[in-house]
Amino acid sequence: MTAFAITGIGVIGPGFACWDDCAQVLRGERPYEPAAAAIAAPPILSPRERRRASPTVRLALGAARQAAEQAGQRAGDLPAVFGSCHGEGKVTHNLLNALTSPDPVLSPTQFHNSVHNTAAGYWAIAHSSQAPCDSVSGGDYSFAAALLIAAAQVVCERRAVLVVAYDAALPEPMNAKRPMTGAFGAAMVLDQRGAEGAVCEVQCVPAAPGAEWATVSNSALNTLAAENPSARSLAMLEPISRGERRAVVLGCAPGAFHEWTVTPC
Amino acid sequence: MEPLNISAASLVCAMGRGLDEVAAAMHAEQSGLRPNDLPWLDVGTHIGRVEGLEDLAFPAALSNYDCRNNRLAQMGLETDGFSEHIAAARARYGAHRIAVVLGTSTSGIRQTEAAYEARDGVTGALPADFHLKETHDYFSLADFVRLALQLTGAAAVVSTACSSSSRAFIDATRLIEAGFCDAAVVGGVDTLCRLTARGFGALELLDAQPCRPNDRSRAGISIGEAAGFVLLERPGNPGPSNRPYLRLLGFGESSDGYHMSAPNPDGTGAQIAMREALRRSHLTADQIDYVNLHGTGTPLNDRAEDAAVFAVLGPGVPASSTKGGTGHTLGAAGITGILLAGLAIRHAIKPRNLNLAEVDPDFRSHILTSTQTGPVRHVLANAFGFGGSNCSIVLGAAS
Repeated sequence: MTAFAITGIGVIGPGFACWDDCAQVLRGERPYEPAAAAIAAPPILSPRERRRASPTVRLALGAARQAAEQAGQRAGDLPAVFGSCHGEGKVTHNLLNALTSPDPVLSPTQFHNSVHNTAAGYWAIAHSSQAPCDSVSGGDYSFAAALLIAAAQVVCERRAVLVVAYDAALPEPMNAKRPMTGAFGAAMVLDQRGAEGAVCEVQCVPAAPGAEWATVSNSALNTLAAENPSARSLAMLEPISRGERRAVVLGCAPGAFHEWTVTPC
Repeated sequence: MEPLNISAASLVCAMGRGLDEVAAAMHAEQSGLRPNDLPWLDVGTHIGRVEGLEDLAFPAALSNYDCRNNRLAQMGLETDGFSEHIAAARARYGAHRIAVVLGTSTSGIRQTEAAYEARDGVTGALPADFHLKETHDYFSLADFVRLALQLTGAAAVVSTACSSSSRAFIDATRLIEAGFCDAAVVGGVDTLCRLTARGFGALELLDAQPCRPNDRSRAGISIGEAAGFVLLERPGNPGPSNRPYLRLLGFGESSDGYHMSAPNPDGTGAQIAMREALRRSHLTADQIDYVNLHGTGTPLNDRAEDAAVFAVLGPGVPASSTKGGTGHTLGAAGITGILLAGLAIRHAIKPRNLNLAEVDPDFRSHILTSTQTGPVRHVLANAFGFGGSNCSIVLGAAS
C-alpha cells in the first residue's frame, strides 16, 4: 500500500476556471455549464514566453499554479510530473501540415515547442526552477499513470511533488481518428502523510481483477471523464469536493487498475 | 540508493544489431553513420540508420501498431534474447508485477507524416488504414511492448525529449522501490522521421558532415535511430535469470529552467544531475572510470556539458561522446548512451570520441582521443533534452 496526502488542487476545464468552480458542480450546488475555457497566459511567464505559450501550456501551467498556491508551496521548489496523452497536439499538427508542402520550412520555435515536455519546460523556465520536471504519457490512462509516478516519488523521496494532468482534443483531421472532448487540466500537490494543511489523504492498492473505472455522479461530467484522459481525475476529485471517504478505481494502463481511497482530513 | 540489477539488455542502433555487434564496432572504432539513403527523408546529410526495418516480420496480431518506431521496438525485443528473458521473468513475478517504462520523443510520427501526405483531397480526412492511437500516440510504444511481451503491470511512456529514456530509469526505479511493481522493462525507442530532420534543420543544428562532438569545428548533430531495453529488478529476488548483467547504482535529475532549446551556458542544471547521481551511488568523482557524454555535437551543448563535467568530475575522468558512432538517437539517446557505457564495463574499454580531429581548445574535461583498455567499474551516462531536462545515470559492474 502506498499512502500520501493532497495539499493543493487546481482545475481548469469547460466551464471551470478553478478548483472551487469545479467542486461546486461536483457537489451538485450548481449545474454543469460547459463553455470553452478562456485560459489566460499565466502571469508567471515572461512576455516572450507568454506569446509563445500554446493553449495546452496555458492549461497545464494555470492548473499547476492553482495547486501550488493552495498548498502554500514555492512552485519552483517542487519536483513536477506532467501527464498528457498527446502533449502539444496542435503544434504537432501545424508542423505535420507544414511538412506536406513541396519545400517545407518549419518554424524553429514551433519545433522545440512541439516536444511532449513543453509545458514542463515552460513551468521550469517560468520559475527559473532547477527542480526535476517529468513528462509522461499513458494514452487514455495518462492521469493515473502520472499520479502513480508522482506518488512513488513522494514515497521514495519523502517530499512534496506536483502532478499535472492536461489534455486537449487534437485538431482535425486527427480528432476524427482519436476523438476527445474539451480541454481539461487538473493539478495536485502530493505530500507525505500528515503534511500540514492536507485536504485529504490517499491510500493506493491494486484493484481486484476486472475492476472498472470509477464514475462521476453528474452524467455530463462522467461523459467528459470518458472523453478526456485528464478529466478521469474528476472521479477522484468528487469525493474530495464532498469531504467523503471513498475508494476510487482508476486505470494507469490497460488492465492495470488501482483503488485510490480518499479520506478527508 | 539500494542498487538494482540490470539482468537483461538489448540494443539496436546504427553501430550494430545486438550488444555484441555494437561492442565489436566500438572496439574497431567504426561509425555507423552514412549519407542519407532513405528516399523519403529529405535531409542532405548523414544519418544513423538501422537497416532491415522495412522487411521485418511484424507480429500479425498487433498489425494496427505497425509503424517504423514499433518495428524498431520489435527488432529490439528480438535481439540479445530479450523477449525470452522477459518470458522467464514473467513466469517468476507474474505478468501484472512487471512494469513497462519507455522513453520516446516522437513515437510513430513517421506514420502520421505519411498519413498527412495521403489526406483526402476533398475532405482532408486521414486514410482509413491509418491507426492514430496505435501508432501516433506517445503511449503506442509502451502499449505495443507490453502487448508483445504479454505484460499487464503499470505502463508509461516518458517523453522529456532527448533525456526521455534516461528518465525512464528514474521513474521505473521509484515504481519498484514504492512497491508498485517487482521489475520493469525500461529503455526507449526513437526512429528517423521528417519532423525531427526538418526541425533540427530549421534550428540550424544539423552538421553537413558526420557529427563531430567535442571537436573545435563541430557544427551540429547527425540524427540516428535506436531501440534499447533492459530488465530492472531488485537484487534480492530469487530466480536463475536474475543474474546481473550490470547494476544501476544511482541517478540524478534536474531542470535548467533557462530556455526551451538552449542549455544554461554554465551547465549548472547538468551539474546538479551529476552530483545527485554520485550522491545516490555513494561514489566520489575519482571512482568514476568513464563518462558517456550526451555530446550531441552542437556548439552550445558540448560546451555547457564540458563546463559541467569539469566542475563535477575535474580534469581527469575519461569521457567521450559515442554519437559519432550512433548519431543522436533523441528519445533513445539515454538508453543508447547507458548501454554503451555498460559495454565499457563489460568489455573493459573506454571508447574514444569518434569523428574528433581536434578537441575544442576551450574544453577542460578529459575527452578521450584514443581508446583505452583496462578495468572499468563505475560509469556515468548523461542525457539532456529540450525543455532543459537533465538526467545522469551511474552504472556499476555486476559484482
